[in-house]
Amino acid sequence: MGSGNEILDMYIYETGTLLEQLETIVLEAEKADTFSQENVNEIFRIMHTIKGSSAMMEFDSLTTVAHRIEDMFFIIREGTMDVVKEEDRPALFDVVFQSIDFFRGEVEKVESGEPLDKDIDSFMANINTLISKIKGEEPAEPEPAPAAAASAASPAAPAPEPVSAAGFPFGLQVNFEEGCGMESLRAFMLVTSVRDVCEETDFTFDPPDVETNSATSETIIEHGFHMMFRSAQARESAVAVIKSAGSVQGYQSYDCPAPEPEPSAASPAAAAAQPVSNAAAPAAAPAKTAPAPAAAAAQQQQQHPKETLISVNLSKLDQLSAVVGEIVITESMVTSSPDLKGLNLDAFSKSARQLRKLTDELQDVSMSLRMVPVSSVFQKMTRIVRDMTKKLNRPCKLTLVGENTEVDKTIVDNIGDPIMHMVRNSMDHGIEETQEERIAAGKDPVGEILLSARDTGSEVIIEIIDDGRGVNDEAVLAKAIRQGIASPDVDYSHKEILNFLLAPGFSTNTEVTEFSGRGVGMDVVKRGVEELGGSVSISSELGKGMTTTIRIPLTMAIMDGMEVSVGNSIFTIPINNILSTMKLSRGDVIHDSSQGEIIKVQGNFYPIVRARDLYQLQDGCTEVEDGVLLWLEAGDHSYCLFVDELLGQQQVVVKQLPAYVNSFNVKSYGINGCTLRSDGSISIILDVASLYTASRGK
Amino acid sequence: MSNEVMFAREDELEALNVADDGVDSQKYLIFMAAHLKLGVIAEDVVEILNNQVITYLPMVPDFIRGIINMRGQMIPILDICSRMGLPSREDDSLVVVINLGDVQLGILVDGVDQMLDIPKTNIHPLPANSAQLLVSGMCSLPDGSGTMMVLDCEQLLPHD
Repeated sequence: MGSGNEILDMYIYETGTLLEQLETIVLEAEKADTFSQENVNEIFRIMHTIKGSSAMMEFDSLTTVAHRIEDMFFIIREGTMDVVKEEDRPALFDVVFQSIDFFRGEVEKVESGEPLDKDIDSFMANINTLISKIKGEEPAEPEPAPAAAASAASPAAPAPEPVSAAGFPFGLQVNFEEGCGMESLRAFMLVTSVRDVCEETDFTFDPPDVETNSATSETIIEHGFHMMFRSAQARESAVAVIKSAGSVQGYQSYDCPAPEPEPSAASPAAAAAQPVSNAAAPAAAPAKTAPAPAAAAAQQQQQHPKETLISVNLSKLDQLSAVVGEIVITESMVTSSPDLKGLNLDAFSKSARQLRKLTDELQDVSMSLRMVPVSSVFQKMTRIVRDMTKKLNRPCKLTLVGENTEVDKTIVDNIGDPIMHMVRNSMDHGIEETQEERIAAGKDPVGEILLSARDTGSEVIIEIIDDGRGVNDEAVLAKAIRQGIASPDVDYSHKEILNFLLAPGFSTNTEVTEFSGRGVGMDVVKRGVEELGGSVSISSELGKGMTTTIRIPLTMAIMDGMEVSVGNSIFTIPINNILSTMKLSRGDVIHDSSQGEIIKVQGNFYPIVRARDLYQLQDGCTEVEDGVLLWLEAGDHSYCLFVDELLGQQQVVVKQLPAYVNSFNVKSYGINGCTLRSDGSISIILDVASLYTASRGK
Repeated sequence: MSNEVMFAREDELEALNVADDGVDSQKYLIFMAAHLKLGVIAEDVVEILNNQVITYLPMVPDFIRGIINMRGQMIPILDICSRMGLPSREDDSLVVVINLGDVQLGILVDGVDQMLDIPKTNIHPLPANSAQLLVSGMCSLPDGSGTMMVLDCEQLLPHD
């Protein structure tokens, strides 16, 4: 077990995935106010897996809680959801949510190497109360029945002599290695593995309650673990499995004279095996030795989609994208090498074309590897809204749109906090405090928050829309002035006032609540998004609600750019910022009062920024007739950039500038990155928005 | 002992080093820039590049000549003369790439002189009132060809 971090990593990853799955189920079930039998089975299975793997890792508190929850769902599964009284259901959902939080918290502690919470008594008491409530409905609890039936079917003879069960004459005694620990669990894992190769009605085992009763370890150590098979053939196949299982010291086959078939005894035995069998698939996961697909065969509806997935370290993917980027460039360096000029190389061109096709494909694949749906982040918001709805007593529903939109993994990892902040904000400050208030405003008494994601091809747009009170401009302005962010003498536009919300040190709620306004304002959102290369904007109408729009480039690694030249320098401008390009004649340029230049495009006036002047370049066109004008737009800015020449459109791999260069704050001048051109030279990638800000700043 | 080392030829020096292994010494790469002999710790040198095309980068201080592409990695190029307040160089042909922690930096030089093992005791501090910012120590070269200034590479990095 203590064989290093790999197992621990696996445990953390697996438990995390299971908890996510569980949360989705419970959230959905809560909406329907009941668990379907399928859900119950699934939860049972998840709890069982967590229990098993936690036991393997010797996280006792986790094991205990999981075990108890499993018990609870066992009862529910036996008696269907009807055993849970209407009024107990909210408590049931709460307990499950609490347990999810408990597991998450503990797993986090495991991750960071902190000691686990030993004090789980109050939580356990909670679960136990609920269980007894559920049981109260059905006093004749069938839970102990299967075990009893099983012991009846296979008389648990304490004697070391071969144990036999009616109808299962072919016995097998398995001895585990001395001192390997947790014999009962190992035995159960063995059963699971054997179930992969034998019909579960074809064998039985003793002690029968290895799965739930760890005290059976003693019996197993003393007398070995016995499995009884209906046919010799079944036993043969089981032997093969047992041979490959870990910690098995040896096994011994024995045959019992088949007694009179006792159908009445045999069938309860089969029934006894039933509840255990449902847990077969999850147990296979911690067992590691048992291939999960085979376990799934026993339980066909439990096909894990996970089986076709592997988890890869993100740094490896980063490395891959970097290398692929290099290959793409090297490929064009080779195929367009100046040495090949004037040569007529048919075969070479053919192979070169083939190579290009393959590198393109490789690039697409390596990019797609990093893409994951945003649903995991969105799903978390469902939970937050649920919790806040309860706490604040403000009914509100969250609608998710486009949660299958795929974005780069780094984005998904980092977008969670900003979105969560905005959703909390909407709940806390946006949605009206009372339903009456909403009804008076002519709205649906139940508030709505819409969380949507969509992919425009170059960027992903995430919107958080609430139908609450909206932003009160005056209150915001007054606060901004109080905080010293705004000046009282200036007239601010609606848009500017909304931007104060994103300014550092601004938080409109006077009280700090549990959910938002923890001393950090929405500037955290802004900073988080900007770190991803994106932008945040807010729009709002008083009384109608607020919309927060987050725009993030889909992938930060690759983009379409237009290469332009100014003198000897080459710049790349993101294609999606370019509205159009045009040639000018001298008469088109209007000079304004402050020596600026303005141009009229499609009925509107736009300032002209000359790249050469902005960057103080040595050479480049000065006459407007000689150069080209690019009409650009980014965020709120729209302007024209004057350059010498358009070199062409190119898909480029974005490279960061060296940190050393960035330390001179070149980003604020719109110098955002660089890319390698096909001839190996470097082109500088411009950021259209900050370029404009820089040009105005002068 | 220090005198012996100081006036030893390079080959003799090697022999001396072998003789007293315990002596704390450091290998330096000595290059020429603006008629100065500058030394950097040889372990920090990544490579010496010839005839690189330097891409001009606007809006950075004059002493940054631009960036180069070294096998897909972007390396900023520093004009060491200009950085030290001397007239900037015309010739861009020779670059010594050094590695400082996570930062790789190319330094434009006139020429590379030699690689030398120098005992730490031979490196003397600067005169107390010296205003040279980038130099952390000085050492007379054993072959008598002049004095090496030890370039304080950390100082090349921006501080904030």
